[in-house]
Formats: sequence, C-alpha cells, structure tokens
Amino acid sequence: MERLPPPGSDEELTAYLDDELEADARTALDRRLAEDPALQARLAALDAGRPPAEPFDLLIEAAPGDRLEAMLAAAEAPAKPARGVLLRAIAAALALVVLGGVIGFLLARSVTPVEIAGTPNWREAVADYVALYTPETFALAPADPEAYAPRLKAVGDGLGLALSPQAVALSGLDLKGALLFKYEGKPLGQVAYLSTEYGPVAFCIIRNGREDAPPAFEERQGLNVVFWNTGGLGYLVIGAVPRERLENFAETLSGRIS
Amino acid sequence: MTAGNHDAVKAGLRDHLRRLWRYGLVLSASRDTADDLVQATCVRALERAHQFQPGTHLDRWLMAILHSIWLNEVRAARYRRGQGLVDAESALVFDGAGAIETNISAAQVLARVQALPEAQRETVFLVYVEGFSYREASAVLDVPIGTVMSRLAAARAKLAALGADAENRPEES
Repeated sequence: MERLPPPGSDEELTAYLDDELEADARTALDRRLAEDPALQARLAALDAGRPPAEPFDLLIEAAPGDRLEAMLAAAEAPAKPARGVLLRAIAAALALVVLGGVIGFLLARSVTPVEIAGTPNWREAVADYVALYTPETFALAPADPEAYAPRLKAVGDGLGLALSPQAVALSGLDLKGALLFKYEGKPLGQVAYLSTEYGPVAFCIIRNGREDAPPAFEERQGLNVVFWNTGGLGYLVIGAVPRERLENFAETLSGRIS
Repeated sequence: MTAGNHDAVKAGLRDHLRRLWRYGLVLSASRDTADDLVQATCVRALERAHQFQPGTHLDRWLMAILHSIWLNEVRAARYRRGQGLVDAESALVFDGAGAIETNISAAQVLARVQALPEAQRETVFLVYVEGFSYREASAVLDVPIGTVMSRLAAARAKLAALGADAENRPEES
C-alpha cells in the first residue's frame, strides 16, 4: 500500500473489506473493531454498499458480438499497407484538387472515386487528409463558384443528392473544389473551401446508412468537426474554425441539403 | 517475437471483445461510443502489439488502452461539445435488452452504479465487477492506489445509503 488510509476512515474500512490492507494494519483494525460498535456498524454499512457483479453479466450478453468480431477483422489489416493506400489517396486527392484549378470543370464528368482505407472511422479518415491541406493546396483553383457546378453535380450523383454551388455556399468561404471518394466501399463526397480567416474548410458527405443523429462536435487532428446524420447520409464540416462558426455552417448546410 | 506478440494480442482481443465493449459502455453510457471504443482499441492494440509484455495480463493491458482512448480522445471531445454524460442514468438500462428490462433488481444495480460520478463508477467496475486488485485498477486508470481506495470508499458509502433508503421506504409508507 503506497499510502495508509487514516485509521477509522471509510477508506481504511473499504480496503479492509476488499482484503487490500497489509497484515499489520489489518490486525490493528481488527483490534479497534472489537471494541468499537460504531466502527463495526460503519463496516457493515460499507459492506452492504458493494455492488454485486452479476448484473453486469447482462451487459456482456448485450454486447454486439458479430459486429465486434467484424471490427477486429477490419482492424487486422496490416497497418503499413493501409497507410500507403491512405497516402496514395491523399496524393490523388491533392492532385485532383490542384489539377482542378488548371483545367477547371473539364474534369467534372470524370470525377474518379478514390479508395480510402486503413482508418476505423470515416471522420478520422477525412480529418487525416484535411489536416494536410494548406491554403496553397487550392492556389490554382478557379475563383468562380459556377466553375464547380458540374463537378458538384457529379459528386452529388454519386451520393444521390442534388449538389450545386448555391446549395453548398457558405458565407465568408470561397468554394475550392469537389471530389468523390470511396470509404470502405461507400461513396464519400468532399466539398473544399478556403477562408482567408481560417484556412481550408471541408464539407463531407458519406452514404453510411446510419440512423439520424443531431449535430455533435468533436476535435480530430487538431481540427474542429461538427457531424450529423440524416436519411442514411453522414455529414461533417471540418476546419480550424471556431466551434460556434462551424456549427453555423453545419446548420446552414443541413437546412439546404438532405 | 513481434509476430508472436501480434498473434497473441489478436487472439486476446477476440477473447475479450465483449468485456471491452462492456467497459466502453460503463465508461461512455452509449452503445455507439462503446462500439467506437472497441474498434479504436483493436486498432491501437494491434499497432502496439510489440509493446505488450508476454506473461502479463493481456486484458489489463487492453483495458488500459481503451481507458486512455476514452479519456484522451472520446470523452474529452464529448465534454468539449457539452454532451457530458447527460444520458448516464438511463444508458445501462437500454431498449432491446430484454434480460435487463425484466430483471428489476439487476437493472437497479446497474442504474445505481451508472449514477455514480464517472471516476467512482469506473473504479467500482474494475475492482468489483472485473475483479482487479487496487494495484491493477490504479495502473489501468493511471491514478495512485490511494485514489482508487477513496473512490471505492465514497462509492460504497453512496450505494449503501441508497440501499438503506430503499429498504426503509416500504416501512415508512
């Protein structure tokens, strides 16, 4: 025992009940208990406060065994090759975005799905590559939002949504690209923006088939994320944007797209 | 040796998936979060399989990984977005778990433990449900043994008072 509990304290009595007192302390407490009915009563009360373990067996039974097995199988993919796939996907994404700047909407009808793998969660996968964006990533992208209309339409078609420059417009952000990826076989669309104030921002959509969920906030890769689920589609906005602002973006987008 | 470790960790993960999920559920009070925690634990444990010391308890090691993911990544994010543990009281008595719904006294135990402050709840779970020693719990939770002791004492005091109230209630009415 690193620290002896004060004599007569609940800590000491608890350690006694849990058989965690060292022999000397135990003997001393036995002596005090023998002549102190109040201490005995307190010991009995604390003894009754130990929760039984059996009810927790029900939680083991409630565990989604098949799903957990599948998760383990997915996690077994060798880490290094998966990383390579991810890096190739990032490289491809960056190349497409930069190319997009040069040849603009000509690319729009040949949006190529890029497979992303190796991360357990699509939001983590998105955060992984959005974290690599810099303002320079979009240096060559067209300034006119209408230039992205065909590309947005193609991405939207991949997801079963109607996407247009108007639908994805966010105040204070310049539209910089739209890409269609695949994550674990599911289509994943990304709309990229640039803010002079906050740098790169992305809006992503995946057809994940999950239940509806209201917007929630989290942080990944040092970026803020607001995510929600509607109609079998998962959405997120991500960037180095203050939470409140990001939540406004999410509200705007969720009001227009579903 | 690394390959041996990897296989041992993989096999151990398979054996402990449900226990890890239960721990995730007790920590997060959310089935979805428990899923995510197990998934992240699988990935992290396999990545770090070379760090596992053969001959030590694999389940303790896995629980420590899950706990650290919860504390440093998931829980932190939940608190930041103001979600906290608002659903804590109801979470362990969830829909679809018929066995729990029909077992009132079991449900009551789960609800009372779930209503404990998080630090007490996780310590009670590891020591009284998982059967960890104080030292093992202190390693998983990364707190001193004295802290384990005081959390357990506070939890026992609270649960004892709840139990006494429940017993007295019928006589009073």
